[in-house]
Amino acid sequence: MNKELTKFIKLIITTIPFIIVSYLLLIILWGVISPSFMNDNLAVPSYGFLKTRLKEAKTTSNVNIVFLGSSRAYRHYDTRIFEVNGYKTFNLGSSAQTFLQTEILSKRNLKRLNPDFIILDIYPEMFSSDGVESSIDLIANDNNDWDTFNLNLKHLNAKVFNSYIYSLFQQNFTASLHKKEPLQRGSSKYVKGGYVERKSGGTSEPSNDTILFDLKNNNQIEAFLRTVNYIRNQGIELILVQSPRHSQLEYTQESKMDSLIKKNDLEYINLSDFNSLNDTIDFTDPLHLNQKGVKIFNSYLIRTVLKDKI
Amino acid sequence: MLFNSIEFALFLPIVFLLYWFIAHKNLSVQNFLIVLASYVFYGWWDWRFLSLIIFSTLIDYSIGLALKQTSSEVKRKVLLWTSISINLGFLGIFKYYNFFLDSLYNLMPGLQTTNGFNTLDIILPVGISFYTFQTLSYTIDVYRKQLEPTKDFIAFSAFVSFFPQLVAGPIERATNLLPQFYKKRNFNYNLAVNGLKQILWGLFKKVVIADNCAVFANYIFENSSDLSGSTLLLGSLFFTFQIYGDFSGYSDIAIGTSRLFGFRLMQNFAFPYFSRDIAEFWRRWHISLSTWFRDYLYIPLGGSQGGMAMKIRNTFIIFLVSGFWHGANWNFIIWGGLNALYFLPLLVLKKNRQNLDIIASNSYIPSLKDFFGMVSTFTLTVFAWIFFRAENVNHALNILSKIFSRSLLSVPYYNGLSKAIGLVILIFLFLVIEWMGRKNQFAIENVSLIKKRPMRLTFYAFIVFLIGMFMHTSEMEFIYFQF
Repeated sequence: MNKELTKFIKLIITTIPFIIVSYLLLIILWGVISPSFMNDNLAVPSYGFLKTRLKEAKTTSNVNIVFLGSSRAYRHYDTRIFEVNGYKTFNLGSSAQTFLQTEILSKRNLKRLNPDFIILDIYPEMFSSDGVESSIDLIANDNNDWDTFNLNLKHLNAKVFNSYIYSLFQQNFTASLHKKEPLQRGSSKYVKGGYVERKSGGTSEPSNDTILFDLKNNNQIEAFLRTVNYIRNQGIELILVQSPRHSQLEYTQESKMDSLIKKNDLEYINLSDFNSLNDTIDFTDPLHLNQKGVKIFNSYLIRTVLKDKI
Repeated sequence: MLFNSIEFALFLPIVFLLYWFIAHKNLSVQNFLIVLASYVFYGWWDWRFLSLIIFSTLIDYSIGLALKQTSSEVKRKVLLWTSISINLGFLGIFKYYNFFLDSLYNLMPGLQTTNGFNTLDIILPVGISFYTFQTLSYTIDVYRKQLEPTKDFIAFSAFVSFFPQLVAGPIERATNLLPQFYKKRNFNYNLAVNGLKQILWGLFKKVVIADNCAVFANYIFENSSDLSGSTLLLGSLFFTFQIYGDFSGYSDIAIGTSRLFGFRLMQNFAFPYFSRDIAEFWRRWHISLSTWFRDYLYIPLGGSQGGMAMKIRNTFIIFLVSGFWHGANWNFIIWGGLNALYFLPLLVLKKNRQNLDIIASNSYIPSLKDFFGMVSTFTLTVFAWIFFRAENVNHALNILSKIFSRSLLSVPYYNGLSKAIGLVILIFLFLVIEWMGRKNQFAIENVSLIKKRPMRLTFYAFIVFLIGMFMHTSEMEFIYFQF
């Protein structure tokens, strides 16, 4: 081999480890010292109360129902309403949760929670989103293992990788996971059992947007199918629910999602255009109910869907 | 394939290893590998348009040989104009057809209903303006007998399609690049190491500076009607850094990549924002295009020979054509015209070649006169970029009218602007490094002068870190791909 080429290869081989180690150290240093406006690709999110929720989940067992899904899950299924009606429930929703995270959360928590059945709150964006936001939420607020390492490989995303490295440092060398997070942030208040109540209630302007959606994120579809299989193999009954949204808000090609669900012979209750709700007074935004809306929606679920289940 | 993509991060080392470990013993195999890699690189975007490159290669290769075989001046002219017509014909159809038709219908609305011609729903092939000009330079140089036509079809194909500079330049002159394909390349350590450094700096410019500026510039330009003059001025500044980081970043990656394969491409950007007048700016901005127009349009038109009127005419032609080259839109033509107007006083006062050296070449800071020249040139450039970035002429004029209103005195604001603080710090750091390295081909070339290796490596690691910390997590295309 040409001497100069050998020298170049040696340079590469000796430089790359130095760069990698320096990079990892700089991420940690940056995470500790930098102000938030310089942290574009290093996130430690806490807006969805996931740390508190998972901490509580670890001390909870034997419930009737577990709720899974995005913020539409943790803001739409009030564990207190279900408890009053005789159901012990736990809400494992997390911000922008997609099936990549639903799968991990299920594997980590379902055996202990041991539910009779699961309500997985779905909506089209769960199938199309890249899931980055939710992966970072999970990485920062729960212990990291092989599954979260795998999320890095699935996303190949600098933000996920940097957050993963910094979280590893925090979780192993600081007491970050044991630190309590505030139970109220802005108008959102964490409620025992994983639910998040929007205290001020709120109203919304009616919207009639059409959101572009196409079922083409294979990562999510595969994770969805694996999660369904995992839950079935645990002997747990699974119900897919699409909770209410603004009546005029539409997704293009939503029927593709419905076909996928139908093809896999899953129980699916689509309440996206639940007509007992009013877009203005029962929602805080086109995708989220306020407490008034939650009460109406949960009461309906208990009266109709759950009536014959337990 | 984008330089800032995972695909390219895998593609480059694979081609590098094949090139230096498998194909290194035979020149033809080396060149063939370059052609193959270039077609994969281009075809990754859209295989169909490879046919255009192959067709253009075949035409200019054949015309080059035919020019050699005939001594008849008439036949030689016919051959030259055949090449020009075919190459510019493709460019015309794909890039300018809709523009001409729309402009014609705007001028004579009645025609639209009677003549039956409709605008075409066509995709603009990536890089068509770049490789068309590169192949044209070959035919023109052969016609002028400044270059021997090549009989080596593989070498010629590699010259036309050379992947590092295929889609956004530098637009290489056949006299510089083609002969490099005739000689077997031996690995050159210093060239390759410099190449890696230039790639690193190009990536920093693109993914840290340009892509982050794009977020703010895009928002501000897209919502210009709701924003104050001061905010619009800030948006224009962000675009000014976006386009420089984007385009010069691409050039740095292209030149650096070429160096890894033993090629030397021309410098395309020479720290243009440190120019003291607009003439110097144009000697430092997109050098490969400016010199192309100088050699193949300005000089044939008479250049700076003849009277002042002719010089002014030629200058305007060059700038207007340059604007039109960038895009089939009136705002690009106005952008070109505006730059010609900026140039005019220097031309008339014969001061267009007064700043040929490097600014503050013997000191760390510029003199007051140079500083004033630099700031005023930069300001003029910022205003010209408004026409370049705006959706259309009306949009640009609306932005300008707001900038020159009382709202210029307000504090720039929109919801989300506070996030720009970090970016402003990065731009400052970027400018400091560019200023320190302004005497080199690219800003961090002189880092090798730091004697202690750990210090050098720490600097590179810091740049890598900044890329990882501030890059956009979705790939963002290079602006000049649309040209």
